Amino acid sequence: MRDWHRAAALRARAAGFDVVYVYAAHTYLLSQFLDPALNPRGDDYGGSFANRARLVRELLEDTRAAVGDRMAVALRIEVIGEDGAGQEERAEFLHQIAPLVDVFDVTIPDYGTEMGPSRFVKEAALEGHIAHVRAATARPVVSVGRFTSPETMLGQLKRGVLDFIGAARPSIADPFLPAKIRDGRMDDIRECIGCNICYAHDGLGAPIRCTQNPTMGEEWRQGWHPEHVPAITGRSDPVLVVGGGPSGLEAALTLGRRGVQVVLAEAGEPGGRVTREARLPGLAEWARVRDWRLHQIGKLPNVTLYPGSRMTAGDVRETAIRHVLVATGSLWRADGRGRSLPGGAASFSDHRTLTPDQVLEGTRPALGPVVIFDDEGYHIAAGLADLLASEGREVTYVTPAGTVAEWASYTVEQSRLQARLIERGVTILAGQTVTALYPGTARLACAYTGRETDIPCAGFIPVTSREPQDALWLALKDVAKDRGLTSLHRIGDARAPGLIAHAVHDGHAAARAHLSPPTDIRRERVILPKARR
Amino acid sequence: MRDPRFDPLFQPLKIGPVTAPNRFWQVPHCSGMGNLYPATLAAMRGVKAEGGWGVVNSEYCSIHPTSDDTTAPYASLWDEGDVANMAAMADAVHAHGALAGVELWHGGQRSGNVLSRAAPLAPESLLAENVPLAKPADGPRRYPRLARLAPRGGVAGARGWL
Repeated sequence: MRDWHRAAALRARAAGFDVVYVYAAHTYLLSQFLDPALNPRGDDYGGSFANRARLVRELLEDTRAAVGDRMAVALRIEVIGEDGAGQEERAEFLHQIAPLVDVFDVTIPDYGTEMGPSRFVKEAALEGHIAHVRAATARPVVSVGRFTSPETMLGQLKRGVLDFIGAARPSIADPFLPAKIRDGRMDDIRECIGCNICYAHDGLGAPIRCTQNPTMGEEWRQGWHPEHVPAITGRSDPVLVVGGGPSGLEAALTLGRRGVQVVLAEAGEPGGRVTREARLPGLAEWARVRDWRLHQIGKLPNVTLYPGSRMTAGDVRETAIRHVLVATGSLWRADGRGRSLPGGAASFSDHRTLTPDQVLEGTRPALGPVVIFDDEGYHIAAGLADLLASEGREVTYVTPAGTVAEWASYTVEQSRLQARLIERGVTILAGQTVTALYPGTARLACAYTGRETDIPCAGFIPVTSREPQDALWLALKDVAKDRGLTSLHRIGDARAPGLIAHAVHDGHAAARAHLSPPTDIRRERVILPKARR
Repeated sequence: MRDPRFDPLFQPLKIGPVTAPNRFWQVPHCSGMGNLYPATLAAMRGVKAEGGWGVVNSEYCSIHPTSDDTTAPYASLWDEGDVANMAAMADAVHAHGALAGVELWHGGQRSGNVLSRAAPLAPESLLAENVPLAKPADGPRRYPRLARLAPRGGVAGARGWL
């Protein structure tokens, strides 16, 4: 092990790196040695803390000896043990090894806090845990905290908590965050919303992406830059964007930055689904998707927002604008169509049925027990159960999956969402599908045996799938040539309902594609040399 | 221009033999790119440096085939080919005056070594990842210790660090 690590450090130096980490956190090998429950060894590497930490010390010594003259040696380590205790023991250890370390990158074993979604965890959540390290080690310290506020960052330095502002997610949402502070453009910072869609895609085995930053992961593949879009020069007819949700706002902003005259027509108030979803418990930060774009659009004299302007095909014709992007979003289906019931359920057409959109717009089910049917698996149904239970309603959450909000395990929200519903007294029925409504009851079928049961139901919220609201696009498409349209596209959820990240990305892509020659999307993969085919 | 109050964030700081140009440190974080998409990775990290992050780190970077996190995307420095690909990232970061960092990583029993087929290593023999019973979800703590071992586990055994 020591030889392997030393050799890798030498290769890191050969690759040109300036900082090399010894990684003793996040349950990996060195953490396993530090953890007495996982390390029962009776040799020099087990038993006392000093023995369990021996390998950490040795790797620090080895790394220093091998590359310490050229590279800074960083140690990433938790300040407490896996059981949450032992801070004094670890602080003493950090003090002792400080001469071997150039910078400490410190955290805690509770990943749900360190990587905490905004639903449950706010900015600077680690400070109370790690504030002692700087004094204990007299070395520079870095730690994370989903820092997006320059004032908070400055406070961390001034109060002697940190020497470096550590960031992962905020640097993904805005790679230019430091430059914007440097240049006094604080209001341009595109703040992380803490949705953890970045992490979800890494977990899915795909390059990270970002709800706020549609260029993340596209820097090489599509040549997208987070701050620059190619200007449209010469002739530039105006563009009408219909719909001010995440896709329409992003498209209007990006077209505006390209120098195009943009008319953004929104039927109600801007924000669309973002405004609705941000009303779920804990999700206020998600509204940053709307607010940042509105603020940026407000700086562009060539983009005009018209709220309260629902558009018909005739209205579009009256504008005489020849380029149209339809970003009219999607709405949750009331008929139950989805994975479990591809054809829907006729009996869901019932006065007791409310869609998630209706609930988030303020309508509430009739008094009595509420049944929420989660056939989607992300966070909406669980969030609605949390919301209604917090208002004192009796709620039963039904899902064919094995857990509450199963997909939210990718965003580090599943376990706490399930705990939240349990704590709120929500009845959780996993492995069950709602198949029909009857007077006073909902009929469930076991997802495995088909066995049926009936439960009381005074209000019903199916969370199954969403339907694109693309009637305007269809109406325009049929007669596009007659109406003299040069280009017509639907974008975002109106095209394919998905994550907010999908909608923002689609709006961004459409704006970049406008009047641009088609570009090849680069693929990175091994291509075999001819002789070996 | 900025309010001078924020100048402390832009004070260089010496760390060992190198000097960070400012106080913005992109900690090592997973990218879903790793050794599968090295050009994608280099371009992404380069944009971070361009945007002013004074130190830009890699994701977890395996030191040896006994630490193989397949199917999760991870970086590696096992051989000269890896050196060339990781050098692309370091170069992209250096192009904007930032320091490039690498997080050397051994997963121990968290690495199932599905591709390398090496025996998982650990302080003692326990269930490794990606073998039966050892892939706890981010959910019920049926195996509390193992569940803690996979705090970022998902329904598909998602792992990594952001």
